[in-house]
Order: sequence, then structure tokens, then C-alpha cells
Amino acid sequence: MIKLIKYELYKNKLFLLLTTIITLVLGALPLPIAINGSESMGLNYVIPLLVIIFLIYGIGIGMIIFMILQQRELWNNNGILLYSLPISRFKIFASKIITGLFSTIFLLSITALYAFMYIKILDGTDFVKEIIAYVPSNLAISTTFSIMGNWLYWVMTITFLIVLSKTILGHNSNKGWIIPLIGVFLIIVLPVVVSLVANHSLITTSLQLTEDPDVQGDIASSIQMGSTVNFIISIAFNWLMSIGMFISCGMFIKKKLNI
Amino acid sequence: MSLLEIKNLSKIYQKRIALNSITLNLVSGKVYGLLGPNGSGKTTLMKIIANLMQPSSGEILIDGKAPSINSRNIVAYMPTINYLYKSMTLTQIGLFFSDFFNDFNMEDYFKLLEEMELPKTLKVSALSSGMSSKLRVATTMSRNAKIIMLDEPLNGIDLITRDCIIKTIVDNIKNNSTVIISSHMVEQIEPILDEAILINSGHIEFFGDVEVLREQQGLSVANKYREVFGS
Repeated sequence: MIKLIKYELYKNKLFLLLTTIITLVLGALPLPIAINGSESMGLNYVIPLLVIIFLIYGIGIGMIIFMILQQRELWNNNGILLYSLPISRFKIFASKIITGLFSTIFLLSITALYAFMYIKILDGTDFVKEIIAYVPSNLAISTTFSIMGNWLYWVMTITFLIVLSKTILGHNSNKGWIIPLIGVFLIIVLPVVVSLVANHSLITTSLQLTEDPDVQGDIASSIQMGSTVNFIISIAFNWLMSIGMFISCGMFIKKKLNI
Repeated sequence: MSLLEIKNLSKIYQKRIALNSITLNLVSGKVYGLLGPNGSGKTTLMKIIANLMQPSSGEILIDGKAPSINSRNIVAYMPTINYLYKSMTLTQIGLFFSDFFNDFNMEDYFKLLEEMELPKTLKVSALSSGMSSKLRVATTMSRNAKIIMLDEPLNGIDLITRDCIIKTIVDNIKNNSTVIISSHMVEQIEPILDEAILINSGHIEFFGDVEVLREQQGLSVANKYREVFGS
């Protein structure tokens, strides 16, 4: 299995580099705004949000790319190579998960380094004090976390299930079972779009933030809408996942029992 | 004693029957031609033997045991498609195989690459389809496996490369290895076959010794193929 992990990491080295660059670039984007505009432009409330959103997107993109990469050869022709090896399917599965975790930890470390750098650069400024005062009470951030966390969670869960199902059933087995999972996987695009729209809405509204209570009311409505959409999608996903899992398990049992 | 025993083996894809109660006994040291039109069940049968696929019913014994992770140690399977990691060089492919298969012979592999004029430093992604076919044959034939299966090794390649592949197969058949070659190109592979298996819609239409076929029926494998599958 160690040999397989070695080759899995070897195969992914370019993508690891690519994702690291994406994370670094996305993480760096808000930094000039944070340094130059935090006090003069009245963006105090927006900057932490932007920083966190970009960092989360950085990690999110990285995690998704890696999780997909971890199972990509199960879909294509290379699955034959893996399953021809004298290694149990469990070990193939475990090696993929371990490699995925390694990659994710690697990306998280980079992100943590970035966060540390931000704190160091901005240490002692009013900006940091405002973040500290702002974060715990801010509904926008918690909503953002909730939305991003949800779709990340689903992407990872579905990818995990696909890898698991494909590993159990083997390469090129009856493909009927795979359709519901692909369906669920594709629907992941929807919450991503919704999340983007919701976040965009939050950001643009926040940019207009003033002392005006009407505007603050708009922000609250916007956040509320984002939360509601997120909540509905979560429920829909639960249903879809349940159906997908039910069909997959059914197919698996049918196959094993030859019925 | 049979190296490969197949009894009443069936495989059903949803509603389509790919293999229909096939029974075969293959012995060591012979070259078998698995011949039939597209969709006849050749690849499915090979994949079941290679433990890449589960049969719907029936029994299969490889060296007296059911296909498993262990049987993959004695079965070398070359699929039709390019299944090797594209980012690897040909040397790295050899190292990959020798890491996982104890019977993989690196010296044989390099010798084959040289014979086939495949540069070791080249990446798999840079290979033409003919070169890619040669590489797949080289990796499969470099194993000292008891059963070697080559799925359509001559597909989509020019005459010279085809001759090179056939020569490589013949030159590298190890003592006591059972070789199963599937192909549409019956006339090209006929000279190297000991026995022919004609399969159609999951049924075995003919299974017999090539020499006996010639002597008793006065038919070449190609003629028998035409007789069975011709309109």
C-alpha cells in the first residue's frame, strides 16, 4: 500500500503544485486591499469577510481538485491498471484516502501560514482589533462559513462515496449504479453557483455599508435569503444523497446476491 | 491438468447477455486464439479471468483456485486501451510494474523496449498509438506469468508494427505459459495459434486444435471463422 501511496502522490505532484499556486494567489488577492484600504475606504467590515472568503475558496478549490484527482483514474482507463495489481480493493481505497488527506493537510498548512502572515502584517492595527470585535457577532461570516462549509462537505462526502462504491464494485462493473451518484455529483454545481451569488450579494451590500439603518436592513435580508437558500439546498441534498446511497447499496446487494 | 477451468460461466450486463454458460479447459504451454466479432464477449471473458470483473454465475478456476488478488500474481492481462500512467517515462513504467509484480523482469523489459525501438526516456503521453501498443505488449510479456492475455494487440496499427508485435509475442512466450490472444485479425495471428476459440454472442461456437482442424476438416482458422460467422 505504501508503494501505491508513493505513486499516487507522484501522479498528483503537478496538481499539488497547481493547487498550491491557486491557493496562494487567491489568499494574496485581498491583502493589498486590507493594507491600503482598511481604514481610508471605510471597508473595515468587508475586509475580514473578503479575506476569509478567499482563503476558504482557496482551500475549497484545492480540496475539490484533490478529491476528484484521487478518484479520477477509477473512472478512466487507468482503473484497469490499479485493479490488475495484486492489491486488495480496500488498500487501493485506503491509499487514495490517505493521499487525499495528505494533500488536504498540505493545503491547510499553506492556508494557516497565510493566516499567520496576515496577522503578523496587520498586527496591532485597528483593522485586527476590528476583526476581533467583528467576527464573533457577525452573521454574514457565519452564513458564509455555513454556505461554504456545506458545499465543501457535500463535495467531499459524494467524492468519498464515489471512491468507496467504485472501489467495492470494481472497474467496469455494471455502470447503472453509477448514474445516481454522477447525478448527485453534478448537482453540486448548483450550490456552488448559489453560494457564489449569495456571497456576491453579501459583499456588494456590505460594500455600501453605512450607518444608514435601511442599508443594514438590506444586508440582514440578503443574509437571511442566503441562509434560507442554503438551508433548502441542504435538505434537497440530503434527499438526493439518501436516494443515491439507497440505489448504490441496492445495486451492490443485488450484485453480491446475484439477484 | 487444466491451468484454467471455466464451467458454465455467464455474465449479464443489465439485460444483455455477454457470456452464456461458457465451459472451457485451457492447459499450460499453449497459445489460444480467442476469436469473434465485436461484442461477442471476448473482453468480458478476459476481464473475468483477470479478476477485473465478477461473473453473474458459473465457476472459474485458475490453477485450481478461484480468481482473487493472489491470482493476479499469475495472470498478466493487456487491455485494448492505453491504461498506463501518461506522466511516466517508459523506465518509470518498468519500475512501477516491478514494484507490484514479483514476476516482472526488468532486463526482459528493457530488452523488449530496445527490440521495439522504444526510447526509455520517452513519456507515455508522447507515444503514438502503435508505440503505445508495443509498450503494452512489452510490459505484459515481461512478466513470467502463467497466463498471459492480450486483448486485441494488433488493433489499429500498421503492418510493420503488427509484424513486430507478433514476433515479440512469439519470441517471448515463456515455457509453460498459457497465452490467450483475442483478435479480429484472424489471418495475422493464425500462424502462432495452437488452439482456436470462436465465440459469438457469448457462446462458444468452436473450440479446437488448429492442426486437427487443418488435417481433419481441411480448413484454416480463417476459413473456419468465415464458416461460423459468415452470412
